[in-house]
Amino acid sequence: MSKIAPTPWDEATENPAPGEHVVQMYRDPELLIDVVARYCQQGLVKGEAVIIIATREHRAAFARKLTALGADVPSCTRRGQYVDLDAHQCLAEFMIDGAPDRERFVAAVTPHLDIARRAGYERIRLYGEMVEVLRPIAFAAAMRLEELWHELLEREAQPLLCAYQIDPLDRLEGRILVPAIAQRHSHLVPGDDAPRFARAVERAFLEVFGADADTTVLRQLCERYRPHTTTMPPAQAVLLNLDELNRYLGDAVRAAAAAYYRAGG
Amino acid sequence: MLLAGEDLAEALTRERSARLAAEAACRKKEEFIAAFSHELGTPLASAIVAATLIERLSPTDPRAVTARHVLGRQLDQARRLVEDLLDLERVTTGTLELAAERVEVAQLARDSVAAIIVPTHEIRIEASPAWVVGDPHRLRQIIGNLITNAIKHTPAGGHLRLRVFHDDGAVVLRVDDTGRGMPADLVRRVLDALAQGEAPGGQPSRLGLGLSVVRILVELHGGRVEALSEGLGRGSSFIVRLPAAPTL
Repeated sequence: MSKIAPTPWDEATENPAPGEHVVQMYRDPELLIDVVARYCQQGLVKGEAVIIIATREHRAAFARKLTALGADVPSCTRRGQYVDLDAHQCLAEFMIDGAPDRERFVAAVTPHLDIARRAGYERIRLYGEMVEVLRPIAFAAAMRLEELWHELLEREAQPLLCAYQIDPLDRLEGRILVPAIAQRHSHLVPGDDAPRFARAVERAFLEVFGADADTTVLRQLCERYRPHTTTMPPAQAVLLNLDELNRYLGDAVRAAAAAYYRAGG
Repeated sequence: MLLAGEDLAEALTRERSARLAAEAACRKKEEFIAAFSHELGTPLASAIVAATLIERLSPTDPRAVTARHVLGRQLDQARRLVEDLLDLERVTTGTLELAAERVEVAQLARDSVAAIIVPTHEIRIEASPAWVVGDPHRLRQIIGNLITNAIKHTPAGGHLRLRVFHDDGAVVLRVDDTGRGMPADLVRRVLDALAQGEAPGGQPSRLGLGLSVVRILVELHGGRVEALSEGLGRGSSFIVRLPAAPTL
C-alpha cells in the first residue's frame, strides 16, 4: 500500500538537507519500502550516492521497488552510486558488550562514505535501520547509536533517514519511545498518513476536552507549551507536550486518536 | 390463590411488560449517567491542563494568561452542568419554585451576555424592551444556557445573535448561531435530557441537559421553546416564547 497523497512531510523524507537526521515511523512495512525507495530514487536522480544499511529482506525489497520506479540498480551499484550493506554485519563490527562503540562505529561507516566520494559523489544519502534492529532488544543501545549517527552527520554534512516500526498512537510506544526518538532527530514523520494522523488527533482532542471553542485554544497552548528542536507535525508536538502536562489525558487522547485513525481519521 | 389459564397468561404478560419497562428505564438511567460523566469530564479535563500550564509557566507569560481564562470558563461550565442536574432533580421532586416578578427581558439579556466572557465568538444583541412575569434568576439561566450551548456548538470565530422582540402577545427570545447545526432527528430530540448528537468514537458529545433545563424553566413560566436547524453545518436557532406581562 502506498501513501495516499503527498504531504509536506514527504519533502522531509525525499529531499533532506545536508546534515538532517530524519525519522519515519510506520506501521505498514510496504510504506517503509515506498518511502525508502523514493528517498533513494530522488538521490540517484540528482546524481547523489546512496548508502543503504538494512536487513537482507529490506535491501532486496528496496532494490525491487527502485527498479519499479525506473532506476537501473545494477548500473548504479557498479559505478558506486548505490551501496547496500547488511545491517546485522555492520552492527557486528562496532557493538561491544551490547553497546555501540564510537571509534568502531566511525571506522565501520566512514570508509563507505570515502569510497563514494572517491567515486565522484560529493553528496551522499544514508539510510540506516541498524537502530530498528537494536530497538526491540536494546532500546538504550539504539538511542546511543542514534547519537553516534548524529555526531557523524554533523561532521560529514550528509543526510540520514531512519525508520522505526512503531505506532505513535500506541500508549507505551507513543509515550515512551517516541519522545526519546524525537529528541535524537532533526525531523520526525509520525505515521503512514500524515493528514489522517492530524485529523485523528484533532478529533480525539474534541472528544476528551469537549466540542468547545476553548478546546482549540487549549490545543494551541499544548502545541506551544514546549517548543521542540525537532521538526514534526503539530499534532505530534501536541501529543508529546500533553504527555508532559498530564499523562493520563495524554493517554486518553492517544487512545481516542488511535480509534479514529483505524476508522480512517 | 390459584389463577386460571387466561388469568395466568395475562399476569405473565403484565409482569413481562413491567420487567421490560423497568429494564428500559434502567438502561436509560445508565446511558444518562455515562453521558453526564462524559459531559462533566470534558470541562474538567480542560481545567486540569489549564491549571498545569498556569502552574508551570511564568505568571506574566501570555500563555498562562490565556490558560487562566480557559480555566475559569471551563470550571464555570462544570458548575453549570452540576446546577442543571440539580435543577432537573428539583423538577422531578417538585421542589423547584419560581420567585416571580415583573422583569424587563431586553436588559436581562444584555446583562446575561455581559457575564459570559467569550473572546472566541461575536455575540450580537438586538433587543427592544419587553416585559414578562417571571423569576429573573431562572430567566437569566435560560438565556445563559442558550448562549453557552450556541458557543459550545459553534467553532471559534463563529457568530451568535440574540434577539428579544414582541410577537403576537408573546415575548420572543431567539438565539441563532452559525455553528455545527443539527440533523432533523436531533432537532426533534435536542430539548430532551438524553439527546445526543454526533458521537465520535462512540462517545456521547451532545447531552441536552442545559437545553432540557431551558425547556422545563420556559414551561414553568407558561411559555414554550422550539429548536430549528437546516441541517449539519448550517447553524441552529432556539426560540423561546414567553407570555408578555400585562401592561401596567
